[in-house]
Amino acid sequence: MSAATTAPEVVARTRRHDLLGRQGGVGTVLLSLIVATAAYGFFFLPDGAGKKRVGQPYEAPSGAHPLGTDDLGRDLLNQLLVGAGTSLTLAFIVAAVTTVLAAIIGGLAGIGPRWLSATIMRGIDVMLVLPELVLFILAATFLGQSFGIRAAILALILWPVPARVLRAAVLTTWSRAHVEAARAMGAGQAWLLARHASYLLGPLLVPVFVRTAMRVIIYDATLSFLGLGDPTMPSWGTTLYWVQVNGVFLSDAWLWWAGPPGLAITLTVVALALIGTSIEDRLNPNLQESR
Amino acid sequence: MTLSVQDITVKYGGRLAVDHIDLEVADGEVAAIVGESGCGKTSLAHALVGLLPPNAEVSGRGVLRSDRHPALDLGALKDWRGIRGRRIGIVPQGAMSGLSPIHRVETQLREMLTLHEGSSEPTDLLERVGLSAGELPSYPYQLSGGQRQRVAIALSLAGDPDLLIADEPTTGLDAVVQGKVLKLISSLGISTLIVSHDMTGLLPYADRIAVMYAGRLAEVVPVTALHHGRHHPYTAGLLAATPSTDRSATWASIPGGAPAIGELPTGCCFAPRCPIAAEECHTEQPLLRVVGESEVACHRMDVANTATYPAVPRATSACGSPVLTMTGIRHTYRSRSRTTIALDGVDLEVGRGEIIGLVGESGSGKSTLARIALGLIRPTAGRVRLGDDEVTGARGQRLRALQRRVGFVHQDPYDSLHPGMKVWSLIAEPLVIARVPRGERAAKVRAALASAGLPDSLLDGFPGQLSGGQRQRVAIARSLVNDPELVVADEASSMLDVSTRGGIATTLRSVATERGLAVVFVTHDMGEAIQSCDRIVVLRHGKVVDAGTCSQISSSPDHEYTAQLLAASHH
Repeated sequence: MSAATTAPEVVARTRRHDLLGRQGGVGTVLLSLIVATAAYGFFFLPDGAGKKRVGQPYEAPSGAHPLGTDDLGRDLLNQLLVGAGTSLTLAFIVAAVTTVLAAIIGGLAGIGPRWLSATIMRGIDVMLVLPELVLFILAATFLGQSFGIRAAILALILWPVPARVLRAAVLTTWSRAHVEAARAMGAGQAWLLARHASYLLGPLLVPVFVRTAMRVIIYDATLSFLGLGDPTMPSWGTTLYWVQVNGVFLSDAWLWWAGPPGLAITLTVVALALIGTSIEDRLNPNLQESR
Repeated sequence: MTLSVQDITVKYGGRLAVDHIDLEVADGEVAAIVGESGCGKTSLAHALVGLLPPNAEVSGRGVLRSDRHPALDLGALKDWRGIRGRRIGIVPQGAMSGLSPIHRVETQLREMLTLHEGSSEPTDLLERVGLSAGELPSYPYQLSGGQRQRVAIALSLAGDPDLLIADEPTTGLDAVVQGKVLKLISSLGISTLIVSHDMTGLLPYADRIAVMYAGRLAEVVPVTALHHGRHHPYTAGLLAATPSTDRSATWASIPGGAPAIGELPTGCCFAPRCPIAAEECHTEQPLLRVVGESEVACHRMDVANTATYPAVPRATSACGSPVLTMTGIRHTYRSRSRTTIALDGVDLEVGRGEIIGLVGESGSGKSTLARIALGLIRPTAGRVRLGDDEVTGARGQRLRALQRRVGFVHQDPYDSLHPGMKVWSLIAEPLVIARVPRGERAAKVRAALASAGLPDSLLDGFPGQLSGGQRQRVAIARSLVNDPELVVADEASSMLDVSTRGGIATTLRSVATERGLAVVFVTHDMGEAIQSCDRIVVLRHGKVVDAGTCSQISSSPDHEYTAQLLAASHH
């Protein structure tokens, strides 16, 4: 028995030191670079960068405009840098809101009274059968395109899956012996959550956050590409929208016009996916076993 | 000789787990390696079949002989194909839950027969393990635990092996079934090596027993010689620590705990716990030598018969006014397709200073009853009263206030202590929850710790640094700290080693006497209940089948089922 009990503890210790692994490390470095770029765009570029006309339309890359200019003579590099800020801010805000929503709703479904749990779960089931993207497009069309509304719509669409995951985790946690022992001591739900469940549930929120951020980047780019974003606000998806509107794919310009934002979206999603899967691999006990 | 183990040593990263073991298994003999957790018995068995994890280093020889095959050195073997399954049959630990849940018994048997080119038919294999051909089309979930274990044994016989190695073949089975499975293994006529922690359970079925302690052999003894002659103090201790169903026999416990691997003391490993240890025991390692019919590794064999261990005390005072009264408790679990009746009209009364044994096998409803008493489960019908207060209708604040008057010791000492809390905060938790003023906490924690038999020095440690027995004592201290009227101990000793179980029972008895506590002691072990309780209630399928004082139950059980339980745990 002692061998059996010491082994997982040793594993737990090595796991803590190596939360990300090589895969997650690569993802973190990538994401830090992208965030740094976004920060540069936010803090160091002048107001209106990427929005104002600075050159001739359809300029090819040159020393003054490393990625050339678009149909209105706006600098494409500036658009890319400012767009990074828009996309990442939206991603992180929505991810944070979704995680909190999922935690509250999933937690209520886990430990709340039976009728509440059943209602929430059936509600989630209904949400899950709705096609997310179509819902998102429809909502964006009718409710407007401002940043706040897009964030709200995304958060409302994305919470059901993580809420389900967290409800399962809450149920598992609540059946642990030390939680049961504390319940038998007459501890209230708040105490159980704060003292006994937080260390088991907290780590699960990290992959929820990262995965949501990843999906937000994709959905937001999709929406902007379809012209449902804010066309005056530079973002990766908006740039791609103008690419499509101007038929840039017929000329060589797609290389410096469509290529960079496409690559940026891909890299961000890959970085988040690398971090998300490697953290989840290490924190999810079910995946732990199969490793 | 089917198997002769010569000088086998197993190390994990330099830490010694098995230390130069020599052991032989004769043709057709049922030999057993017995020892408590962490003694190296499973490492030894795994070394013999090449199943150790990659960080283990093995040295030594294990020679497997038979009339049908050339002799084979298992120690030097690299390629195990054709060996495991064909020369050595393996019944792994937890084999009965290792059956494929989605294949029929017949398919699984055929797979083994094809794999090991066995010549028998699935029907023959089932017949050998005492199952009828009617079980062939069954899925494992349709079989009982005992039947599944029989199928697992049939699987290991598919390759017609010369040697059978069974690792803890009775774990997870009810007492009555355990005997039947062991009887089956011993009647197969194959040379068998059983690895087990339950020495007394093996006695009727094994031929020879090798007792291991801290990676070394303490004694190798023919079963027939076990109850007379001189023995290693540890063997004697194990025998005394197994609770007998005979109320007149004393039940003892070995003080202290087994050393961890890599922290073996010099000299005899058992010396720190041995009642007759002398100076040389602490300096010089004893070697196995022949004493009577057995081989014993002990310096003090001349005085071995004087070794005595602390006995578990009995009740001294009569019990007082009732603390817990449960009347007409009924509970049903409802799932979509069916309703299971867990409890069906159970009455229970526990008085001050009294220990009630709640005995039953798995599925008898004993844990449900304990949780109803704790207010964790609301019964479908019936009343629960704690002192003069009604528990049944209580909710929210009022229920939690009642729960603070009851202590709970969970079955699993490894999961019931929050791994990130220090022992101090673990024990103080009920006080924090009950909002006991900060100034009073320290004294209460120390008093509870002393009652549970732990030194103050542990207060700053984390539960990860404690042994199973110490963890359970921390759980007992936690249940006592808020001066409860009632303590519910749910299988509190079932996950602990035999040698430490008596210690937990002693502690429970002393707190019941000193603090005038009522204790509900839930257990599946009839012997333990008879030894440590005042009254026993036997549950079966949610009904009370027998109730009475321990001596009544042990000498003249009213119900046939009680008699069966007694017979199953009678050694």
